[in-house]
Amino acid sequence: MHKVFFKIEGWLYDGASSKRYPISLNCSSDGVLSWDEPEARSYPIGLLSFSSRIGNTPRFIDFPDQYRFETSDNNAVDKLLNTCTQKGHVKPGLVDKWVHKIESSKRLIITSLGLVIITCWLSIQYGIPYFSKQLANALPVELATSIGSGTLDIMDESLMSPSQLPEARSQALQTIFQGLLPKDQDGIPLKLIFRKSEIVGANAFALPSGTIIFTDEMVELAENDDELKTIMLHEIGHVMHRHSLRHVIQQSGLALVVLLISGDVSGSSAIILAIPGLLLEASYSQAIEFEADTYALTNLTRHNISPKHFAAIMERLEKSHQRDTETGDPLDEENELSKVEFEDSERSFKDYFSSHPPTQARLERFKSL
Amino acid sequence: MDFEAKSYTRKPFEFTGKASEYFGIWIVNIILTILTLGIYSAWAKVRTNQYFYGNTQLDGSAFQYLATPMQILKSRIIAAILFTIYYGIANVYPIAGTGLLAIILLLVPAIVVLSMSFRMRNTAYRNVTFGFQRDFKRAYLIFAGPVVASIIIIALSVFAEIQSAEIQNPEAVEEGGSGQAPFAILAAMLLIFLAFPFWEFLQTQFIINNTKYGTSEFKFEATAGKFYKLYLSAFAIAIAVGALIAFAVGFFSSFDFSFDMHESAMMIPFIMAAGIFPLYLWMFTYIQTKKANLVYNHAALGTDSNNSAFESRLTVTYMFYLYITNTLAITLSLGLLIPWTMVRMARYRAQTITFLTQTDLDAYVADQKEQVSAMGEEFGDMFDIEVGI
Repeated sequence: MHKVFFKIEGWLYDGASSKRYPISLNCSSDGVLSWDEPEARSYPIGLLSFSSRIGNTPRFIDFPDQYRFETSDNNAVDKLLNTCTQKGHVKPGLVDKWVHKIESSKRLIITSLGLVIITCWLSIQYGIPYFSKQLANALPVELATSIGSGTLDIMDESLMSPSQLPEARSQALQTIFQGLLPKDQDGIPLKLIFRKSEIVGANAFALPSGTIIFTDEMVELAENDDELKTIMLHEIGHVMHRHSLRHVIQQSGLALVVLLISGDVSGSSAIILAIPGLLLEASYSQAIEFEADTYALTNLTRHNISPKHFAAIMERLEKSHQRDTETGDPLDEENELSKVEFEDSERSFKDYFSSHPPTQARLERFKSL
Repeated sequence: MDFEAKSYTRKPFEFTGKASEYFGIWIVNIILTILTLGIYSAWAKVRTNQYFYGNTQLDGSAFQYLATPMQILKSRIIAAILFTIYYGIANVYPIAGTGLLAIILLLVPAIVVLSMSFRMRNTAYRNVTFGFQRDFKRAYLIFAGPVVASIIIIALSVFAEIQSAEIQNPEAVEEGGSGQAPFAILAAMLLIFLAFPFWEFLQTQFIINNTKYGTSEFKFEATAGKFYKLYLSAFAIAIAVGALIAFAVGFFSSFDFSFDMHESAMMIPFIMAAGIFPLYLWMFTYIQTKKANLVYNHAALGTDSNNSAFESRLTVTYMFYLYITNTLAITLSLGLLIPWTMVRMARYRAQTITFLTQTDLDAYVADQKEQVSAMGEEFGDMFDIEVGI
């Protein structure tokens, strides 16, 4: 007979039916577990499998022959396992051995919390933007230009009509545009087109395919061609930096981070998870605008255009959109300038007023030069 | 169920988990998942399930989650790869993405059956595992209706898009055939709307009738009429409240002549938004809660000689209160109160469910044990396919 070391109270199930037997599990000092009721059995601990400790949930011990033992006496099971591990009767796995210790230690929980907050902040602030930039530049150019290939058709259908600029005027602007193109176009076919749109108003945007759209209203708003050149360069900046592709990658990265944190939450609604996404979207857009601005600034000096023209037309734009906002939709107090509907229908092109009004800081960059 | 005629013993469910205890498990799950670049997520899922199953007790015995992390990890990796491919294609080539979506729709019935099977096979109570009859044929029959309808709608909308894209001149639309497409879509939607309660009844019946505890089968004893009644009452209440909101809006806008017209006009959308959002949330809660009660209250387990039933007493007001406070708590704590919301939801669910049995719980016979792959469940999770009741 084995010497009984201690006993664990719990339920025994035989695996044939849901019948349960209240038993005392005898644990001997040489690692043998046994019981007397309903029929006497004994097994060496090496043949058993123990469920991992999770908080104070009941523990399950699986025996050969379908027997299963359930007990809420977690401390006794831990004591048994510790003793038998020391004596070399069992070898617990990594997770079983360590994870509960971390999960139940106040100090380690707080450390984990701190680490989670820091990692989230770092990855959102630096990690995701950095990796999406690298990835966007590494992917083939065909991929970058093929995003949202139907965008122009959708916009033509719902928002814009053919341009009514005089032929001579648009020809002149085309010539100017050709002069601004970078030497190395990276295989992207840069192209300028004009459209009339009362809904959009004075605006310009770059499509991933390399097509840059100026509205007639935008051309009319400019007081001189230098002002239009600054806008053209800004838009070329968006295309050359593959901002649309980067945007798609960034959104996927964000979704991944949110998924990691929320894990298997099924009870919380999707709205909760959408809020941080929207906030971060705005912050990423600003970073993207800043980069396009930088591209414009660098090239403006190269073409001997004063950066002040950019600040001038941006300020005029802001005023024109404010006017629109006041007469058009009195509710839009946020003054998000031309927060037009097409942003929802097509996210893969950059409209540089919508999510990012020309902040004072942005304009200062151009004024100070 | 006629509870009076037969003498039932009431066995309440109990949930013994604590938010503070679960917080530790939750945060360690996240940090280890991050540090192992996602690999630990399989262990995290198992530990989370083991925590919630183990804390759910009936008559002094706990439920048990049996799936192993390795099973989950393997399927999760494959599902993640498939999802990445799909996501990439859908973003770059929207039309190809739509085609893939149609293929995924065709897989939904199989995914539902496989994940129910996996879930049930890995749930045990008193060393007797649950099971799910893998009746693919019937699953496809039931799901054929909405799947075919979805494909028709997708096809129609793609068709309408191509049609209108072909017409450069917007004035030509009136003459062209594309004007019929929106009408067809509308008609299809209306049909889906009317058939939805019946389809949901069939789905619930399918899932419950195929579920087993050991060798004992569950039976769903409700009729489709109950589902129609549920949606009809939700609809009626929504219309009544909506009319009230409309009345309030009319009242406000006709009332303040003394104000600047501009300002009073501004108020209208605010009142609408303030009224409609809670109404929408309340409708959602109403339907979810009443449906849960309906499903449990008409589910029976076992044969005539040993018949057992459930009683579910969720209330709409309390569920509404839970949803609102949980949403607020998660938003204001930037997600840190997620464990607390999960625990209080589980506690309320357990508190309101009672098992009604004619004998003790000893007589259920175990079934053959078999392994089911986690692939269906993980694939369904990735593509956000809702499974279950």
